[in-house]
Amino acid sequence: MSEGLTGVHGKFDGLGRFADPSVLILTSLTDGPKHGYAIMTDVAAFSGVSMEPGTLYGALSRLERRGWVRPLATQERRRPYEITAAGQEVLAGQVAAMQQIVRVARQRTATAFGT
Amino acid sequence: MGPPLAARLSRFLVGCYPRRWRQRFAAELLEVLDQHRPTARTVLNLWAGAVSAHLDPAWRAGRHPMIRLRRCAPVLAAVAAVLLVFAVGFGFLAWQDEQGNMGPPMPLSDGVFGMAFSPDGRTLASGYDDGEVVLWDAADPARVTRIATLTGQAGDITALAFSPGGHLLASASDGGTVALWDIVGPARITHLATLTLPPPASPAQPGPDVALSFSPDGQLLASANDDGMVVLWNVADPAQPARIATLHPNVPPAGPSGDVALAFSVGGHTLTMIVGSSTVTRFNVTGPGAVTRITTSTLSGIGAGPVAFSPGGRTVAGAPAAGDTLALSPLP
Repeated sequence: MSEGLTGVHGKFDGLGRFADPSVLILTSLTDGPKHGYAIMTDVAAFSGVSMEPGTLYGALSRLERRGWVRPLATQERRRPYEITAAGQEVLAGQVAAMQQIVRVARQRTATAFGT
Repeated sequence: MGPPLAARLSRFLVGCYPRRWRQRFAAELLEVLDQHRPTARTVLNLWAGAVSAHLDPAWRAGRHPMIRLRRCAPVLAAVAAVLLVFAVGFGFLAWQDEQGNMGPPMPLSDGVFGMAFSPDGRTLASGYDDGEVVLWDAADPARVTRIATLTGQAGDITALAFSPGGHLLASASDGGTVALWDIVGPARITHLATLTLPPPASPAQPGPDVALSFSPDGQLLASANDDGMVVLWNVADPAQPARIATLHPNVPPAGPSGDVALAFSVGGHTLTMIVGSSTVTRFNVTGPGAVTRITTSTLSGIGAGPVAFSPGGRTVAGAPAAGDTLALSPLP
């Protein structure tokens, strides 16, 4: 249970509370279709968030139901997923909102700490 | 939890997802689990996923949804039991924290009217506006715990004093009483006696301020009102205190923001009272029943707010009622 706290990405695990798994998955699929395990390793590589399979498939099933990702044909028991046009639109909206948060956070930390 | 057990439990939990969910995702998920190294965290995560999928109406099976759930019930219940143990543990720790918290029973801002440390500094007494006195074990300031709550006195507790030996606590209330408590052992704190103060000379004054002081030998207890009335009790036998003197020097009463303070000299032969932050009166205490006023003088420059004596009453500290300055003044 403590692996997430002591592992390589341990110090970034707190990001999981701020970065929604859906946003991470959509971001991962933006540069091409990927199957489940590839999404997990890609997300860990670019964000440091180690997503568990239960979280991944919980989010994937919701994304698929909303039509934001589409399952492709299974290849050797692995099913790749690709992002849909609706998914790209939602991701762009999320990114814009996050950018706004980042912009304000930068301004305010600069005012407060002079960084 | 060893990896083989975590892997087996993980695969079992995939079977606990709703049937329609499994038809769609189970093969892929099992494939991912083959590549992933499952840990206890994976197991918990899958358990939570299975529970949330069961709660999701989209995956609810058309018929007999309880059949699958029944097979998985022991595992779901076991994980729930583990979580419950953790929750109870955390709850207990939080409760212990709460016990060491100075906050209850009342917010400091409007509840605490009097405080005093025991002579050895290990016990703190705080008096509240509902007549309660709480004793705290303050030996370790980082872990203050409540020892006892003394109840039964009417009015707001306005002053507290420990006897020099630390075995007696006197608490004064604005209801005009002083209660004496035997506090030798926390397990057997007993109420010894209640002393009744004479009514204040100016009855218009709402709830009089009171100061308390034990003589250094612990034989006498003195109280002073903010209208300058001093009462001495012989508390050699604290269960049967006897009033030995009531003195009312004609001093101007303390104003609404004024204070009253009282202190015995180190030898116990002189009692000094300061009323309204300016009028200092000294009494000669040669023995029980032989108390006479020596002098009354006026002190200026220590403000019109609360006052406090150093032990022995040689120095007085004062504060203006409004402001952030303190003044110290030696007494003649």
